[in-house]
Amino acid sequence: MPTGPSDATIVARVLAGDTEAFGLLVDRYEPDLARYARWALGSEDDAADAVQDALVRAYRSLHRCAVPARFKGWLFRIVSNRCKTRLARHRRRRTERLEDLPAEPEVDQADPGEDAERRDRREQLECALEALSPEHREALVLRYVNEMSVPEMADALDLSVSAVKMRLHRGREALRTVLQPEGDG
Amino acid sequence: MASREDQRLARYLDGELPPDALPEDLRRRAREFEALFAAPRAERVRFPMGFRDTVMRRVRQTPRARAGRAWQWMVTPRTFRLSPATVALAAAAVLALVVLTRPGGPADPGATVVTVPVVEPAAVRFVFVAPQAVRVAVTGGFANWDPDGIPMRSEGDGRWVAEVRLPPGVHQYVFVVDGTEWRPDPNATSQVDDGFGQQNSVLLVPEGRSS
Repeated sequence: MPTGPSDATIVARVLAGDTEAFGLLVDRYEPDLARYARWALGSEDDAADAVQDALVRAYRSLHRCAVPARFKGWLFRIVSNRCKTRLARHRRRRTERLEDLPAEPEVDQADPGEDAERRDRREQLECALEALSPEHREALVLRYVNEMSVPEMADALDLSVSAVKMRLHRGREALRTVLQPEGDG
Repeated sequence: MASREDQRLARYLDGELPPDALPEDLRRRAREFEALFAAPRAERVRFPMGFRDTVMRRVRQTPRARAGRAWQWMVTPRTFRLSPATVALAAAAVLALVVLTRPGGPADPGATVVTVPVVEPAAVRFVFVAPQAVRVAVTGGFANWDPDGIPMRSEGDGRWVAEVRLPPGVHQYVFVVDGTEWRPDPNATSQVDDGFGQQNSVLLVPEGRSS
């Protein structure tokens, strides 16, 4: 649970004109949003851009946050939409690039100090998540990376609890299929 | 590995069952699945230096949210360009309004009887039935949507009651059971979507009128 004033109190202060109070919400949610966006998008630079855009949008439309006590879910929904928009744009660009140009090698940004087995596992997951639909990837990241509860996810994704469970179930099945060794089966 | 997922495993992975509710083979599969995400879960994603400053700089340059923006508009000096004809028409309209509405002015058989609304808060009694609850609160715009809201007292028969003084107007509210479960009032005359796929209850506190 966050310490300090509640989200609802901070939202009320911002709406009353205290712009600097919005910084408290940035501080509170940046780590979670960073982790989510990085794994949803596969790149820290893209994640930083998406989260930055989302935070500014959240500020601009803060009066539309109907239940300020559930600001977190509302904010995640904005970030999730920004990530989907960026993914769609990237896929389109990548398709255009593949059609026009020889493929460029991906830059390996691995940390040299990172344990090799851990890095392999991390890269394996990264590739597998990239092969999933944005909806499945987003659900798996929110639940198993951000450790959100299913009701919190329902808030963030604007879905019913049962729809979230269904999406998680299908996401896990899809992930298992992608990770399944070839010929196993 | 892509075989159909066991129901108990699914419920555990959805956070509905504790690990000791699973037999050993399912517990092992659950651990395998969770291990996939161990690295990203432990990872601290670091945004570029100055991320917060950049966000706040952009926020300061962004028009404020509605409440603040309206106030900003009101207090910011601005210049209006009006044609002389517009000024003359506006002046005539103001003059007509003053003449027609002053006491003792021209008689108007359809004149509105102006009543002064009494804006004193009215006492509203909220009642919610939740026999299993340990604590219940009522919250809404009048309580800043704080989940702790206004605590309700137990009547001992499963009913929870709170008296709240509310100003005239339309109020949205919900009951919060045990601090986590947001429930609309099943007896409310109307409900509205809360923007999160659930319902808020709506209460109209009518204005009192002077005699």
